[in-house]
Formats: sequence, C-alpha cells, structure tokens
Amino acid sequence: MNNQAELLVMEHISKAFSGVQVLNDVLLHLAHGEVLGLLGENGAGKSTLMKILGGIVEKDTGEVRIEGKSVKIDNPRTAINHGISIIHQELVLVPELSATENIFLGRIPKGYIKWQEIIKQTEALFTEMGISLDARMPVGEMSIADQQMVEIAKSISQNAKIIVMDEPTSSLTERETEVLFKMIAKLKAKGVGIIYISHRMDEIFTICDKITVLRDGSYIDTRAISDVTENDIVRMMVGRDISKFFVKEKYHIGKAMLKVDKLSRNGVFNNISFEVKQGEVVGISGLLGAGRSEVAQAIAGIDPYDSGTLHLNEHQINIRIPGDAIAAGIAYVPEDRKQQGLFLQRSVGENLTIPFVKTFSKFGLVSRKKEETTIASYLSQFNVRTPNSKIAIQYLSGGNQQKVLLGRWLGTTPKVLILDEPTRGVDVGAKSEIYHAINELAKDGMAILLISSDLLEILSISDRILVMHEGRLNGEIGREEATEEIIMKYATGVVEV
Amino acid sequence: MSSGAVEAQKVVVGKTGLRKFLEQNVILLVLFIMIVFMAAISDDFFTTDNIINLLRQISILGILTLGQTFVLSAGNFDLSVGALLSLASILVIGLQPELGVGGAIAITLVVSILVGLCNGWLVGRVKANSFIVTLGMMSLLQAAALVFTGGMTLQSQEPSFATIGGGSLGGMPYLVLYFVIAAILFQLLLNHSVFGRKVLLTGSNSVAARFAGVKVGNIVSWTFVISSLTAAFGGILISSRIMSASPTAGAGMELDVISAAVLGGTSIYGGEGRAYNPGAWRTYFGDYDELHDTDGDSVSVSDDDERIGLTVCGWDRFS
Repeated sequence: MNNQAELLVMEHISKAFSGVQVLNDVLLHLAHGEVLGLLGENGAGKSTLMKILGGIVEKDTGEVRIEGKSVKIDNPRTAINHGISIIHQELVLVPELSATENIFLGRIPKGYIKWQEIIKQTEALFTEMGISLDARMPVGEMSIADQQMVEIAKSISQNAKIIVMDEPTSSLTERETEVLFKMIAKLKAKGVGIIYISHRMDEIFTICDKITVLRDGSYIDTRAISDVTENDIVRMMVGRDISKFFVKEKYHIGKAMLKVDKLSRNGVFNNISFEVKQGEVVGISGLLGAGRSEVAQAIAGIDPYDSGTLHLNEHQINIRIPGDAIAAGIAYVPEDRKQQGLFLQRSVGENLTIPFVKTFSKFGLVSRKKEETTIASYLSQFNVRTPNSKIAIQYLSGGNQQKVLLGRWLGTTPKVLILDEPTRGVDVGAKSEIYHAINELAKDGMAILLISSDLLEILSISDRILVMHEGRLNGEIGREEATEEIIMKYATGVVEV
Repeated sequence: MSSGAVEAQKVVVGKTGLRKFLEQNVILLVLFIMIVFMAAISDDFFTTDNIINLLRQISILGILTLGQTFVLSAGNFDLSVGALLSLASILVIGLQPELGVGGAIAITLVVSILVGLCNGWLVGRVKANSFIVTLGMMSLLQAAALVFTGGMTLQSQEPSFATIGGGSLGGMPYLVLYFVIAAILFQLLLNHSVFGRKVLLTGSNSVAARFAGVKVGNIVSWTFVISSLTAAFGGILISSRIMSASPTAGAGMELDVISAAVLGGTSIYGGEGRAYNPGAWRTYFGDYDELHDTDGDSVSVSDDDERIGLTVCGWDRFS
C-alpha cells in the first residue's frame, strides 16, 4: 500500500505525571496491514502511550498523524472516530448486556430501537469474521475468549483502522490463542494495523512483523522481527544482558526446617508428606487445580487442614490462623497479588510493614520514625522503584509491588518462606531480581518452598522438585534428572508413583 | 536510575504537597466561605455566645461521627447508632431511681458494649452484611426504647446528673471539651496506632489483611464496640443536657453521622479514614443550623443542608 501515507505515526510524544517523566520523545510507526509488537518492561510506558492514542490520557508534546493527517485526540470518542480501537487486557464489556448491545453500545440510533435489525447486523458481522456466537447471549456468560471476539467485532463494526491489543492472550488457552491469531491474520489482510502488547516471546515471534521497544519511558528501537533474536529483544528491554536461564547455585543444605507429615484436607489434598531443609529451594509443580496453593495455604494457616502434622525445626507446631504461622516463622507470599497481597490504596510503607508493624510501636502507637528507617532500608535492599514510600502502592509496576511483598514477608524474619507464583505478571528485569533474592536467601540458610506454573522457573531455581497431581504428591525429582518432560509426565498423571 | 528516582521524588513532593492538601480538604474552603457568608449576613454570628453555642451543638454528633469513622474505615456501616443513642438516653435516666446516676451510666455503657459486640460478631465472624445487621439492630433498639418508656418522655430527678452534659469550664461547655478530647484521641488511635493501621488495612482489603496475619474478625468487632460506645456516650450527654429523654431522640441520626464522616474524608468503601475532619464538617452543618434555629437546643441538621454538603463532596470526588 505504497500509494497511501503511513497508517499511523506518533512522533516526539512526551508525557509527565506530577513531575515524573513517563514518556520521553517516543516514536511509533505503524503501516496498513502490519502487526507491531510494542515491548518493554512493566512501567516502560507502553500503556501510557496507548492511552494517549486512545484519548484516555492527553500528551504533553508530540504529534499523532493518521494516514498523513495530523490529528488531535483529546477524548476516547475522537479516537474512535479516527478509527482507533483499544482492546484492554481486562475487558470492558458490560457483562449483563448481550453481545449485540455491547457491540452497539453508545451507537444505537435514537428513538424506537429496531432490535431485529441490529441483531441481524451483529450476526452478519460474526459470519464475516467466521465465528459462531449467539448475538443475544449476555457476554458475562461467555468464555473470556468469546468476549474478546465480541470486543474485536466491536472494533470492526466501528470501522477501526488501528486496533491495539493489550496482552490479549493472558487468559486464553492455547487453542483460543490460535483462533485469535487467525483473526489477526484476517484483519491484517483487510489492511488493519495492529499494535500488539505482550510479554510472551513466542507469540511476538509468531505474530508480529516488527517490534518497537520502550525502556523507562524512552524509545529504544524499532526492528523487523526477522532481524532480531529473543536475546536481542530482552537486551533492548532491560538495557543489559540477562541470561535467560537463571541458574541457582547450590549452597550448603542443612537440617530439615519444615516437615510436613500426612497432611490432608478432604476432597482437596491427601496425605502430603515432604520436608524442606535449610538452604534448600523445593519447587512444587503441577497443573492448575492440582492442590499446590491449597497445601501451601494450609501450612500458612489460611485454610484449615483435617489431619496430619507439621514440624518446624524439630518442634511440632499447631497452626490454625495465619498469625500462628507468622509467629512460628512461616511466611507465605500469596499467588494473587491484588486480591490476597496488596492494600492498593494504602501507601507502599504500610503495605510493607503490616505483619511486623508492632515492632515499631510503644504502648500501641506506631513510631513513624523507626518505621520509616526500616522501610527505607527494605526499599533499597530490594531495589524497589518508587518516588517515595508514601504513595499508594497501586501506582507501582507489578514487579515493584511484588518486591514490596517479598520485603513484607522477609520482615517477619521467617525460617521457612513459601512463594506462590512469585513472578507471575512480572517483567524480565524484576524477575531476575527476584531470582537473585531467592538465591541470596537460600545462601543464608532459609528454607524455601516455591510453587510455580512456569516450568523453566521451577527447573532453574529448585534443588528438588515435587510434582502434584489431583491432590496427591505424584513424584519427587532431583535437580539433576529433572526436565520439562519428566515433570509434565508426573503432573498429568501419565506416570503414577 | 536511582538519581532520577530521587529527583522525581523531589518534584512529586514539591508539586503535590499543597495541591494534595487542598484536594483533600476542599471542604475546609467551603467551611471558610460559609463562615464569611454567615458573618456578613448576621451581626450576631461572631459573638462569643454564638460561637460557643455553635460548638456545643456540633459536639454530640461529632462524637458519634468519630465512632462511625472507625466502622467505615474497616469497610462497614453502623446504622444502629441513632437508635442506640435513643435507648442509651432513656436507660441513663430510667435506671436512675434504682441504681443512682453512677450505676445508670455504668449499665448504659455495658449495654452499648454488648450491642457493639453483637454487631461485631455478626459482621466480623458470621460475615453477615453490616448494612443488614445494623439495620436489624436499629429496629430492635428502637423497639426496646419504645417498650421501656411506653412511648413517654422520661424526666431525671437527680440534679447532679445535669453537670455531665450541662456544665462548663471557664465558659467552655463540657460538651465541647469532650468532643475536642475525643477527636484528638481518636485521630491518634486511627492514624498513629497499630490498631488503627489494622482497621484501615482491613477496610482496604480484608482478604490481604487476613493473609498478613491480622485478626480481621476481632478488628471489625472492636470498631463496632467503639461506635456503640460513642453512641451511648452521646445519649448520656443529651439526657444530661436537657434532663429528660425521649425514646426517639436519635431517630434518623445515623444518616447525619455517616454523611458527616464521609464528607470529612472517610471512604464508605473502607480503607481511608480521618478522625479530625468530621469535626470541621460538623462545624459547617452547625453554622447552617444556627441560621434556622437560634435556641441552641436542637442537635438535628436540616435535610437541605445535608444535600448541599453531599453535592459539594460529590463534586470534589469526581472532578
């Protein structure tokens, strides 16, 4: 399509939020029928750039040109009128309304509504897209993948020329991802330009034509996908070399610190026995719903167990509530950061110190001075990037939030640290920092239990791997003989122990 | 990176310090404008008598608002405070013939603690919705107050009882002193104590609070006990001030109390709360009230004013 001007050009885009420069002279080019991977660590400025494009955030400086014409996008409505459509990671459909109502939301002609006609239009749209969905079904009853298709249908019906997809596959199965990719191919063929944001490298290489990388709000480079390797991209994103395979060093492994004996909870997990020694990282692998988190939460006193015993440092312990576990020296960093870990609107400092805030208090009153000293030392120890400790933690990136939570639990001076999916939704840089922290802790003799769905992670930082299958322990693999295949065999129950 | 972060911090603090304060305290500006307006249209406004009268009026509602702030901060509602105030004001007079002033006050406070524990147990342990629990409690307490008096107004025969709510120290009514002391104590408790921290974090995310070892059920129970105690104290003060008690003295007061707390900067979704601001708000309402009735006995606030306040608050939050 050389006869036309380039579909989208964003030039010299800068934006600061209350003095913090989040975008600095950023450049972005997108051609018709092209898929552009927009990459960067969490907090690199991808979302802000896309919010500027979508009219949600106003830029400070810079220019946006669509098909050669300079445009002013000052609210979401003008963005839509210019053919820009953004599909957010967390879908923004109205769950109670039908697919049709969602697609035409805000654009239903005034006066008497001819639903039959509108529904027919929706059905025609679905047929054109090659998907079979019920136009009358409330979207809340659809799978996430189908809801995403409804979003795409909405974009198409708005004659979108530019579609932004923010982590579209984060909650899709492999098969659903394939369907999405086919849809993207169709859109490409129609000349639609797609900006694709994802943390998953394999997807980037499957679907993108070129990539643009941002780092700390600055533009780094744009390259054709055929010109780069995975390592190149990672280097561009983090600005330094990170070996993809972090390998934990093996330290002195001491006596058994946590001993779990025949732990059971009816219908959830059964007869779980294992031990974690000082200086050892024990990984628990398994499929979703195998009962890994449930075992960990029983040990941490969050959920009850029906039978079995727990020993810590050779003493039997009785744990009924989370406070018991914390007092005994067991810390559990939960899986779901937002629901189970963070107090989003409270300050970074308060989020950090809550389990041990008592230690800064006299007669029940918190000494802010003492607390602040400790907070400052943790924030620098874990390299948490935050303007100060008083801002609400919701404004930090996922990786930095996770580092604060890690600090929170280490502040309880545990003997056993249980990490449940510690790097989920965390960018490469923070991930490697978390691995290094785990490494250091093991070196100092901490007993660590690591639950992870990321096989690579389990393989690279565990000394020993336990595999759970349907509520049972189904295999224990030493670090030397462990491979992804062996783990999967145990996890899927192909091999029974 | 690190030096950049430090610079960013300077800018953030420097730029947002004053702005942030103003954003959170638009309400004070409104209060200031109201005061100027009142002073302009009435010659009597800036007289010592009027100011003291005004402060006295806001005190009882202010004290209840302080208690409510704790319940709201932990993410719940306490709708039973108005009815509890009625019941307390009746018990403290009704029990005087048998138990004397001291005994009547003691029993009244014990009853309010039991009411708070009951609300707290149902909300904190049974995990019932606080709106429904305290609405039920409200009906129950209101009924108890009516049954106890048979719908009649009670009179106190103990002159010594009058000093609690009617006395003054160097021209400053006790009522105002109670409120000022309570406001300082509660502010300290909410924003500077371990307990207050736990209340706010429970309100922000009770699941995460539990995971972090906070005994959420206990914390919630305590907030209800605190709220109930302030309601009982309010009831005692009202009775003492007018030396009589009506079984419907606090009817509808829960709405004033909750609005005052919210306007003062406490979030009805929990997790954010300030004890010092409700006082400022009560002053504002008090001002308005003063225009309507100058006899100084009424502690109710007219509905119109409330609505104006809410609109201002809404504008503040959504703009």
